[in-house]
Amino acid sequence: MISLKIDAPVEVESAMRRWFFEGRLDFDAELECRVTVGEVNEPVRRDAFANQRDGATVWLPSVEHPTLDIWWARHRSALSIRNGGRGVALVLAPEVADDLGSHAQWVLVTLAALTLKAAGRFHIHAASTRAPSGQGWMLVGDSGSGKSTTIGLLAALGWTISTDDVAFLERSPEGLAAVRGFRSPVALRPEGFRLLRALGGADLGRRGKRGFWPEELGSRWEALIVPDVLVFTAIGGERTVLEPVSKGTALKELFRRSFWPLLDPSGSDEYLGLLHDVAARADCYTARLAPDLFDDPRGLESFVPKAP
Amino acid sequence: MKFVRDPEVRLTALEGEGIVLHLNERKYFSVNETGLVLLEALREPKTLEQLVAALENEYDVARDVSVRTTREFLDKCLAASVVKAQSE
Repeated sequence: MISLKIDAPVEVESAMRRWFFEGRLDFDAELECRVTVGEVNEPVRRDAFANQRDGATVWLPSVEHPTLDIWWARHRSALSIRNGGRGVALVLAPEVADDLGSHAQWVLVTLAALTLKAAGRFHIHAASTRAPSGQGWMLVGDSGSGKSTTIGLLAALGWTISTDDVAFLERSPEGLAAVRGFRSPVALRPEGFRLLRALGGADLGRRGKRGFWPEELGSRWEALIVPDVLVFTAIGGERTVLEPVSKGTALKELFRRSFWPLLDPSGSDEYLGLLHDVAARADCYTARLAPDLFDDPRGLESFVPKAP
Repeated sequence: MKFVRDPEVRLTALEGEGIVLHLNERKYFSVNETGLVLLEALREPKTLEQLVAALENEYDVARDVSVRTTREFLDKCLAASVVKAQSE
C-alpha cells in the first residue's frame, strides 16, 4: 500500500487520501507531502531552465535551488519537489483546495508521476483494456484522440478496463512490462454516453464529460495488464482504419507520452527498458477511429491478426 | 582527438530506430539506423577514423559518403552534448 504522510488542512488531506484510495494503486510506496492553502505568485526563481507544459512553468533543479518547481499560473498553485520524491511541498489556491477532485488531472497526477517512480511505477498517458479472449491492449494518444470513448465502447462489450487515461508502467511478477491502471471513472463525452445509452455517471465538469465507473458500463476493473496489442489512436475519416507501425516508431511514440523524464530523469533507465519491452512484445498499430466504431466496436479487434 | 558518448546519455532502440535521452540536458532525440551504429561505437572513445570504420563495417558505402555521414552526425552530437571530444 502507498504510505501517505500528508500535512494539510483536513479537507485537503481527506480529498488526497480519497483520490489515492479510489485509484487502488496497490503497491508499496511512500509519499510525504506538505500542503498549504493560499495565494501563490510566480516563484522568484529565474536561474534555471524554464519551459511550458499544460499551462505550467517548470524550473529544473539547479545547484542553487535543489528543488524541481512547477507553477500553474492559471490556478495560482505551485508544487516543489526534491529529487527522488521526498519532501513535496504543495501550495494550492483556495478554489483548487476546495474542489481538489476536479483538479486532480493536473495537480495530483503530476504529483503521482513525479513521486511514484521511486517505487518503480512510471507514469504514462495511456489507456489499457483486456479483450474477452485474454488479449491485453494498450491505447496511446493525445487528449481527444478517442481513447476513453473506445474504452467505454469496449467496456460495454465486456472487455475489462484498467484505465482510460492515467497509467503507470511497471514490471509484472513475471518480469514483463505491464500497465497498471489508476482506477477512475471513464470520462465520456456526451455523444459517447448517449450512444452507449449509459445511465448514471457523474459530472466531471470538463467539457460536458461524464465519468462512468467500469461496473456502470457492464465491465470490471483490472489492475495490471500486459499489452499484447499497442495502438496509437487518432480520430478522423469515415471508416475506422488500423495499420501496422514499426516497433521503432512505436518506441518513439511511447516515449513522447511521458513528461516526467525531461523534468526529473531519475528512473529513466528502468523506464526506457519498460518502453522497449512494451514495443518489442506487442503488435503495434496506428488507428484512425471513425464513427463506424460506434456501430461495431468489435471491428477494432477484427483488424488484428489472430495468433496461429 | 577521440570522441565518446556522454555518460549521462541513455539509448534504447528497436528495428533500427532509437531514442537518445540526455539525462543532464533534459533533452531527447530520435536516431536512425546509421546513428545507432555510431552511438554504439561511441560507448568507448573512438577517433573519427575508427568511427568511419565502424560505419563501413555495417554498410557497403563509398568512402566519401561514410566520412561525410560520420562527420555530420558527430557535429550534431557535439552540439547537443551527446558526445564529448577528448584529447588523446
